[in-house]
Amino acid sequence: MNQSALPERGLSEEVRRTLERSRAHYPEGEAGRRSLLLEALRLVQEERGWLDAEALEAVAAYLELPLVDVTQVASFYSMYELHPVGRHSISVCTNLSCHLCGGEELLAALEQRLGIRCGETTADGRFTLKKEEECLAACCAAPVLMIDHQYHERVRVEDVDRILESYP
Amino acid sequence: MSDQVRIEIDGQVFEAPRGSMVMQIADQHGIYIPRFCYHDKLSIAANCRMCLVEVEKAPKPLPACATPVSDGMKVYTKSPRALAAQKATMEFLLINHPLDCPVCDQGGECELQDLALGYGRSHSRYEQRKRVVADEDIGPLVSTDMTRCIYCSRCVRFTAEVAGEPELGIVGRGEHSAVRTALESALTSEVSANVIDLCPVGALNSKPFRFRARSWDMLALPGLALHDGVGSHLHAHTLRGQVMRVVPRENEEINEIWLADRDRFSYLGLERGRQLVPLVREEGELRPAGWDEALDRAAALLAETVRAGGPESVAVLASPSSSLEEGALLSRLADRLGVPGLDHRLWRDSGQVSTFPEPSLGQSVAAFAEPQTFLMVGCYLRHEAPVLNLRVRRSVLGGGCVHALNPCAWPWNYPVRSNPALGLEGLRSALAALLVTAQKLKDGPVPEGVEIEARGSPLDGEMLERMARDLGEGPATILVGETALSHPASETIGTLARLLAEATGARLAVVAPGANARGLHRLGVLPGGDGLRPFTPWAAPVRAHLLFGVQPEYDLLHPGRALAALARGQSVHVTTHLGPQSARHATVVLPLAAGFETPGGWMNLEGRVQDAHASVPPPGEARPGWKILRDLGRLLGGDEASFPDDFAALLELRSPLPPPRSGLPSTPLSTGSVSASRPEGFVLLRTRAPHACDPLLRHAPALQETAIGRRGATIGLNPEDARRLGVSAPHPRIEIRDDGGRRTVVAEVTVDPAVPRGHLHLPVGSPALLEVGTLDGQVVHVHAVADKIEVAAP
Repeated sequence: MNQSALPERGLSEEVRRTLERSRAHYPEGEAGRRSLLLEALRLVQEERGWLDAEALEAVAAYLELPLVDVTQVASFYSMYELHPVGRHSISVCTNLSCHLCGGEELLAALEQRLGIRCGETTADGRFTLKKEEECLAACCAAPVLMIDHQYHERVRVEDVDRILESYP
Repeated sequence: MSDQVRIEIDGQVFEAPRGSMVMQIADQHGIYIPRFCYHDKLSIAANCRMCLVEVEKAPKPLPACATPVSDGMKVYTKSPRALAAQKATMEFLLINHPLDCPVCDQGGECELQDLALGYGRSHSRYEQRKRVVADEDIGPLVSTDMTRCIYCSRCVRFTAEVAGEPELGIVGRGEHSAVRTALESALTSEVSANVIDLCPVGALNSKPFRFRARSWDMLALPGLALHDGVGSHLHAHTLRGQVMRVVPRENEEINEIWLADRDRFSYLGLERGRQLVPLVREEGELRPAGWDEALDRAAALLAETVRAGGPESVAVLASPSSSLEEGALLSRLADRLGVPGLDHRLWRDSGQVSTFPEPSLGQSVAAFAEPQTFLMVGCYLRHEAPVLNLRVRRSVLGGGCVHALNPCAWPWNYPVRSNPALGLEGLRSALAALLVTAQKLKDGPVPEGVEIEARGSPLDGEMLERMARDLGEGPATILVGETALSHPASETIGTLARLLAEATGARLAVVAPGANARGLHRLGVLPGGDGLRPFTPWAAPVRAHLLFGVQPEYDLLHPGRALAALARGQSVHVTTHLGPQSARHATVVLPLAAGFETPGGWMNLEGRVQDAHASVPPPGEARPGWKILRDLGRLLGGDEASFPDDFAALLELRSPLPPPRSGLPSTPLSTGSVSASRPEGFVLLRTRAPHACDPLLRHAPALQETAIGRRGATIGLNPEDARRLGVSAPHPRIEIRDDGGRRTVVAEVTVDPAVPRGHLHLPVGSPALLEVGTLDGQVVHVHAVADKIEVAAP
């Protein structure tokens, strides 16, 4: 089916407005629309929590891009969620510096505390442990964990409960 | 700076155009560099790394496919360093590739297998488990074994670049990458199966061919694609007298390396539902008969009818894909009987004299790729001639443009400048309005009647002006397609299109359906031999029909009229497949050899005569058409000179073909008023279903299961009309009543935004829509059928 046959639905007024403003920063035509894709996916994800097929279709229709191209991009970056996630997203860095400073132990403690493995969501839908988190670029404060884009530095295992409590 | 550079490859010095890649120059001079992702019909991806070569002064091996030549460059394709790089790549590719060649259909014709022989190690150093990729169902034509995929991305680039329908992508990252569709859906393109040929490994293969034969056991016999007028070249791969699969045969001037899906899979119809023995009707029942008896009955029937009712009482109708030999014999047979009622234009809706010139493209197939303006008049080229449409796509990407005047806003696989959904009446008035605009732009005279025809045109002046300007500037082609040729006012449309071509200097292309419409036109398989005679095959005084390669219940746009006529009179069916209604009415049935089973010549739309041998023998007692027609001709008293025993003699009789005729009649345009008010109800808009437009295609199950096939088995309805009628998913059905209110039929609906409001798009050719097809009248009334709610008994 031709792309134009896809319904343009699902994008909220707010997302549309933001994207219209951003459009000005990108080149005209297809190249610009392609460049806008990352931002569009991020905005939609922030609004909905994760990107379902309908969200991808809506973005594709809005940017006039083939759906498969949108899918390729969305599936490439681990920051885009293609499955339902909890209210809060926890990323534990286990890259070199954090690994040396106890990142693995921190992750194990979190997994035990939450009763889930990496990539899973707690039954109450409160937390998701991000799978495959690479360096969070805060080696000076290893080990680091990030919850909803908020950094927690030099985290010790005994800090975990206190930190989690602040995310209802 | 010169445009040429000198480079050295393996010690040989070549001149090369600046900007070309090392791989291209090596290929031109027969130096083979191994490759997987590089393909000269696709963009350069450089992601397989198999073509790494050593370049002097370069610190690392470079991919030959993506390294531009530069002056003084020295390339070594077989140096120890190049070979080491190539072997390392091969080892990498084989890490996760399964060793299942013995059960892989690609085995024996696999690029990975071939190159592994030259560049692979005899033992793998990799001992870990191999990766497994889940398969996806991408439709009935292409099988997937994605664990075998080496991520060359040829299929991905094909769908985006050539087919113009980006359906496949590499989803995921790194270890988790896989070639997939966006929504786990089937491929929808009309040329989707070309990915089978492009895939260098066994990841994408032909699903209907799966596990049917090994490549080295089959014979590759050259043949032709007979489902449109392009005349694509193909190879039929046969085993023990059966066609096992069909692949494209490279021909740069026609189909390049592509084939439409229907050309590739129509062979599946060779073994299904075939008529295997002659039949004759006796005491109301058809019974098997010998050839001699059946031929005698057929000849006697035709001769008797002419004797009793005069020459007008017999009509001869032939498939537009009949060969030149069959055409020549049909025309002689009609002469022999003295019958003027002869035609191959099964799509025609009216009995008037046609104002269309001989079918042609006005240029070569290849010229369609040159940048120019195309105006599609009642022409959905994507489905009517898929491979030709790929050339138009290339033209558009290279700076050409397309305007479409179609009853429906059918989706194109390239950007079009205009594509309004005009409806049936709107097509005619819009074309007239465009002619008026074109004449006014150049201050030319508007022919009488055109202004009246243009009344009620749904197009605004701005759009018309843009179309007229695009047509007038530079080279342009006006394509008149199936919907125009079968339009109730096709004569008017033909005249308007000709006048528009004259006014704008554009070439006129008449894209008639069938594989041999041009040849049959040239041979005079037309009413009265020249088409200048009104002919209505289904009305009195016709009392007997000779149908050659035609399934009247499916191949005609208005099967209702034909079936009523067949029920009234007598008929001889020379056919590959006997349809259910024909079986009820036929007097004599003669089993016919299909394409692939018969030798012959076919003239494609550009005027090229191409010959093909039979690839396989016909099944049962079926005979090639030329033999059947020859025998009938002889039984009717024809001599050996006109109906020769020998095929070679026939070839001589066929050539040279008569020259094209000139001097066409012009249909007088309206002098009165054209009715602007639309009658109550829905207008039935009939087009041929692209995957069911001849007997062979109709009997190929895989083609019917594709998106195009399924759409062709349902009625198209505009979303707003669907809402208004209360038609709802998942399998919406409607009840259709014809104008007189005599009959009511129920059919499944596809809600399709391309269909204009107030219209029902009826694809003709699928058995699923036979009942709807037989409705009479152009206007029908529609009701939604409520889905039954099953209530369990207490």
